[in-house]
Amino acid sequence: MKRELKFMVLTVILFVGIADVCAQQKQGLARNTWGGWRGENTRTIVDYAPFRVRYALNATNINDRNTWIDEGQLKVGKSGLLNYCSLFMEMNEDSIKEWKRRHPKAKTAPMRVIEQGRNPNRWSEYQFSMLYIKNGVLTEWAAMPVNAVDQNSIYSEEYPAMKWQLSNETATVCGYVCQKATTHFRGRDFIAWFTTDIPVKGGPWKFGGLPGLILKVYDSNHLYIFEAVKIEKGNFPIYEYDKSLYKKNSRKNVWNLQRRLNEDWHKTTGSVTEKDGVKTFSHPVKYDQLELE
Amino acid sequence: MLISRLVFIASLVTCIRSYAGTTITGRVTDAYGECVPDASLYLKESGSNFIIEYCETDTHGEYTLKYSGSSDSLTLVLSGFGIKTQTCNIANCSQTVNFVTSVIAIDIKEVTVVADRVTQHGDTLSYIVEAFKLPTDRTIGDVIKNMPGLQVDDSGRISFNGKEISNFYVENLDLLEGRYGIGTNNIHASDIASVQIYQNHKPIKALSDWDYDQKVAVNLTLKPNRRGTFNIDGMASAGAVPFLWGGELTAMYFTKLFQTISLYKGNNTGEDSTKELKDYKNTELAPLPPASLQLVQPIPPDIPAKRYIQNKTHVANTNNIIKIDSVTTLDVAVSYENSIFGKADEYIEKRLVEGAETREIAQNMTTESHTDRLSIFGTYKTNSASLYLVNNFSAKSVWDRGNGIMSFPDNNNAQKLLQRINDKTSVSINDNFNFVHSQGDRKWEVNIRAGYARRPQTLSVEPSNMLGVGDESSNIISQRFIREVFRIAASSFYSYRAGIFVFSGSLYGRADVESVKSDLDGTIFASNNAKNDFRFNSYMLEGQLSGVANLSRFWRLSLTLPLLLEFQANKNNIDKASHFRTDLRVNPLFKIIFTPDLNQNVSLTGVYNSYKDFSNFFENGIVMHSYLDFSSREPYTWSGYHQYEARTECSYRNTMYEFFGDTNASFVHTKRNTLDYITYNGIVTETRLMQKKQQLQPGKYRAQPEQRSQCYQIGA
Repeated sequence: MKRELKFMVLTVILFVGIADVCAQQKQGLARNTWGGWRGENTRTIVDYAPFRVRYALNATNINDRNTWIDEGQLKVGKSGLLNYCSLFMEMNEDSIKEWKRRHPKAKTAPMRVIEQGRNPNRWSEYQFSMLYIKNGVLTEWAAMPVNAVDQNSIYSEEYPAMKWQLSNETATVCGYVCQKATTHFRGRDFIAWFTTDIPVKGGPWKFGGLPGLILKVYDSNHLYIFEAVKIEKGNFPIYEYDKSLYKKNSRKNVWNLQRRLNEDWHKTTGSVTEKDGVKTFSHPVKYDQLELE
Repeated sequence: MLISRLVFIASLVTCIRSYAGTTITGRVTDAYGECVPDASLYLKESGSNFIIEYCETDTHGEYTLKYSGSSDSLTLVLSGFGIKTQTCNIANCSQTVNFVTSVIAIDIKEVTVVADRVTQHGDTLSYIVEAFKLPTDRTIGDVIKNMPGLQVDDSGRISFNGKEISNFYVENLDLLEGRYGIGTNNIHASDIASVQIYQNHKPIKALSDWDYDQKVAVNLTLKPNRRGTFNIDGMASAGAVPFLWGGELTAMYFTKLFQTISLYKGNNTGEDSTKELKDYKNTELAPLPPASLQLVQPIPPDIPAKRYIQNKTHVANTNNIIKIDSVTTLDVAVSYENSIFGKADEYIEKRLVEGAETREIAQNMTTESHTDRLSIFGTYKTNSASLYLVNNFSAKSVWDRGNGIMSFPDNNNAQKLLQRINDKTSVSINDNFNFVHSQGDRKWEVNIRAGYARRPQTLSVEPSNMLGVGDESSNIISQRFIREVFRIAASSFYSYRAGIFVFSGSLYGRADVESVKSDLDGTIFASNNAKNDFRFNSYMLEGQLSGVANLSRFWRLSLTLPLLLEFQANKNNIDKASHFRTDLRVNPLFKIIFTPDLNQNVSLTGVYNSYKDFSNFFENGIVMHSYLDFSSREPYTWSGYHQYEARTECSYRNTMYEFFGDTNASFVHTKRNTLDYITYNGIVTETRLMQKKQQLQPGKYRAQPEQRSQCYQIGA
């Protein structure tokens, strides 16, 4: 009996430990930026999307937005432009704009006026990057966290080809019957569920290339899970942000910097924390990037 | 024969069976013959729903699909964003299939997995109550606890993301002011449609365009059928051995022009019904003075109070608000509470005595305290875009009394000690007037507050010989203590915006008249040492000028000049001694900030502060605060400090190359005068407050150039 109890306690500790490590693996300690550093104050509309799909990123409870790291959105423009960006960020920016409209003489404005998921003060490249895919070219606008906004970057590359293996399995995701497909993309194996009922060759983040919309995609270790939670019709503007705040860069540089910022934001940005008079210049955390190469 | 051979060869060319692999090619064009790139084509085996091969058209609209299966026939599908999906059944043989597309409107099925239980409009969040209500939830406070981002404590206080709310509205009327715990603990969840959170709330509309202040407010919106409905709700409960009872009666009526909540709560189950009457926005200038004399009571154990307290509590409360016009409201509230709390315990108290020794006193005690409290609140408020005018009035009266019986196991519980405390009618009356007017780039604020409070207390202990300090001629030691306070404060604040400058000026005046009378009888202490009778008057006038200049996006200057004149008069009525003091203080703050770009920042700051407190200058007589605690104060002591500081900081950083440099230098000079205490032993712990020698902290120069972990300190 004692042995069983000991085993159960150890198992619980092990699982708690794993859950904690997993939580760290997907997001570092970098802090969010606010107040126009993404270029949202001077954004312009480049297209309109007749519908959009919302995705929950790494939800621990799909019914509770507070347990998600981000709510992403895929907008499909009338010109065929695919735009994946954070809905949490965009709604917050819209709300702040509305607040400023209602308080025209205010000298300052709030930083955050809506909920921002599980870690509202933490930066994640999957929340702060805007992706644009058109004519086989992928452009990433990578906004960086606090103390690194001077490194906001933009780069373009040929849309990465994903060789999907189709499988004879189906599942219903977000009310649509989906077929399973698997691929190996930049160092990880991914499983996607797509539906031909929505003939869009896109999905969350950079995923796409299937003959239908990807409604759910995750890696084989279940570290990153994007799942559609809402499909809605409308006339959604697709924004382009202030170019002057983004310097031209290469994918390799941006990928490297994002990894370093997640692994040790303090060291990478020179941020210092002080407790009981002791200054700390480094807080390394274990981090597994979605793209390993 | 030749014809049949040619047909056979032709069929081989146009339709190669799948054993060698089937290749289907073709071209997709639109109605005008233009090629359609990026369209999807996929194959399914007949009768199957699974896609087995797929591809997309290239820039010329051409495609190639290969199939290596054995199905006799296949389904070829063309689809794409904005084009009509076309399906054709073909034989399993290599062939060419061309498509001509037609444009269609997007038609997709809208789906929601996660219902929007919380919606956002501007900076207002709306929580749908029904979406968060559990079957066991009765009051709106129970439901708010389930809402993400919101917290509610036992007394009904609400926080949003850890920040306490500033206002609690029902249909945008501030019925309960700071006493909104009554609302969270009594308004029925079934009456409420949604809970709205006003983030970045501006309770004063006239200041909505001035300084940004992140306040949070809650507004309850009623269900349409609950507006204008008078609702009475009662609840009673009873238990046996010992007989336990509880009862509640609430009456509510809500419209947009008039609202009322009246309630009665009573119980003997240990439930503290008075905690929800707490005022979280108390602005009283002269609140009821803290009790100087106290009944020694058992230390609360680490279990819920209802498990060890014996009580009888009755609370009656009524809150009413009427909207006089679109911007003016009048709010009146009255509450009365009557409570009896009884406690019994055995414990050992450890007390520090002279040196590092501790003394343990084992005690068995039983105490009972009675409280009667009557409170009246009234608020008149005008809140428009240019004018804010509010007057808050409050009057409170408290009657406290209690007694306790102690016995000491070390003495075989042979003797019992009786302590009695009596707060004769204690009162506090306060009024707070606030006026704000703003127009364009100017605003003017006036605040006048006045208050009077009086707390007379008596504490008696018998028999006196058990304490070791009792006078042989008397069996009772009794302490009388009266503190009386009258305060009035007025401030005026004016701001003006002119281009890059914001100028502000303020004038603040305050008068404090405070008297203390105390008398200790029945002890061995000399009568002069056991009395206090002094008055402390303080008159303060403060003027402050401040200016901020946003010279450019690089330079910003700010200067604040507070000039404070204080006159303090202390008079001791026992020895007729007097002490006067006039103090002129300037606590300036100057700051220059230079920010050439995001990566560089230079600032220079200079500040001077000083403070002196003479309020207890003549509090020299011994006071029995409890039967375990006698104290007196070293004559003519005061506390205060002076400090001046100058600092400069500059920083440079480059993230890409991981180069970071910060330097700062500061000069700090501090002169401090604090109070400390010494203790004497005996069953009575006697504490004497005394003045420490003045400590002069020499000026300290510090320079810290930093590049990662390198750190240097210069000077001392």
